[in-house]
Amino acid sequence: MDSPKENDINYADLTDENIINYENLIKEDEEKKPLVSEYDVIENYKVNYIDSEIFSKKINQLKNDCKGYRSVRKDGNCFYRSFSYKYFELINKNKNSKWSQEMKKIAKDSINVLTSVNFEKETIEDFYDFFMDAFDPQKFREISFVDEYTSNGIVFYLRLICSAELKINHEAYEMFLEEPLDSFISRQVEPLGRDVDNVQIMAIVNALKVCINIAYLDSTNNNVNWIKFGEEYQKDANSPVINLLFTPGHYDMLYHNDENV
Amino acid sequence: MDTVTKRLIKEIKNIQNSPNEQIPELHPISDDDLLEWKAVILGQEDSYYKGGRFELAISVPKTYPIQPPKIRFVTKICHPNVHFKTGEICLDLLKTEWSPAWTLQSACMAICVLLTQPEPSSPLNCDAANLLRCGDELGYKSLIQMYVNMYAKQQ
Repeated sequence: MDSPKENDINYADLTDENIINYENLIKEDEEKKPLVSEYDVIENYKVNYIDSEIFSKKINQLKNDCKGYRSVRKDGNCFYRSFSYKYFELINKNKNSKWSQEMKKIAKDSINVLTSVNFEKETIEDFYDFFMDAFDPQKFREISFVDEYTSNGIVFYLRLICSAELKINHEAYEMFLEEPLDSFISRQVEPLGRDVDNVQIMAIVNALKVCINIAYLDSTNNNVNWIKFGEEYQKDANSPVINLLFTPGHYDMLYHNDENV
Repeated sequence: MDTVTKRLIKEIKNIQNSPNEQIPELHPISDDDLLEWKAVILGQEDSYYKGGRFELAISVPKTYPIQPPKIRFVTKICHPNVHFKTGEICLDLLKTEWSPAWTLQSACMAICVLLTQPEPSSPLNCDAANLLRCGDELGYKSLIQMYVNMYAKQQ
């Protein structure tokens, strides 16, 4: 059975069971897709749930700044996966640049940061190894985002980096939370498959000292809205920035016009 | 060596180095298959499960610890969040809130905590949950202890 097409869904007869079946079918379809897609030009970007007229208008706007994209699987880890792919890709493209060296140094030290907030080294070091392996261009291409276990391990390690930053500098984040920090971390940050809020994005930006620029594409009539996180880490105009695309409920990667692909 | 084996060997060493007195047994059933484990947890002294010794069956998926282990009670137990017939456990940590930073030992400890802190709002055993929700503490206690005496008494 294929996942239902919009026209096949009988909205008058949506029982709980039907909804669950549809959800499972969508999930199964999604699991057949690669974790990270091939690069494609921005004109080919497809999105669900947004009125197509508004959507094509906004894709046209995006074209002023961006030429292409990569999609990631919609499994609740999309921000972590998009971010980490783009992060390693930018670093590996110019391995010996000052910025890449700095990024690697911060990543290398992260295991000490994590053990300082009581993560046990034995339980996390395998994931640390997956993360550090992605600094090797060959492993990055062939394993890190191809093998599901490894890729999820990298996502998880990034979640731990986020968790540790939230714990260490809690006074900077607590005011944005609607529940105690500990329960926020154990329910929303550390488990795989939980999507991000701005708090997690801020924590990752601060922990890794990177700048993320996100284009928000929604169904309103406003123009595409760009929001930069961690502008202070963009030391000069040439420092790499991680460009992401947000559509309702999902993050993918964007490639800026002046980026080499 | 694959990642799950590597990880489980580390866990076995950790369990041997720092055993938990509430979990007197936690090990693979045989040396040939590291993916099937047996655990025994004890009812805490200050709980209705006092004097009980409960066997758990742990099945570790090949994708562990990215995916959670499957844990169920083998010993019959009366608890709002445990299915009386199958021993299935309703605990967020074993499902949606699992994180690879947990271990088999910490998961067993969470099950020990569940014994003293049931969640009657998400029951698998409605009879036990209803007693608790109605505030029939005496009935709840008697039911639990009857089953502890029938099935889980320590030798």
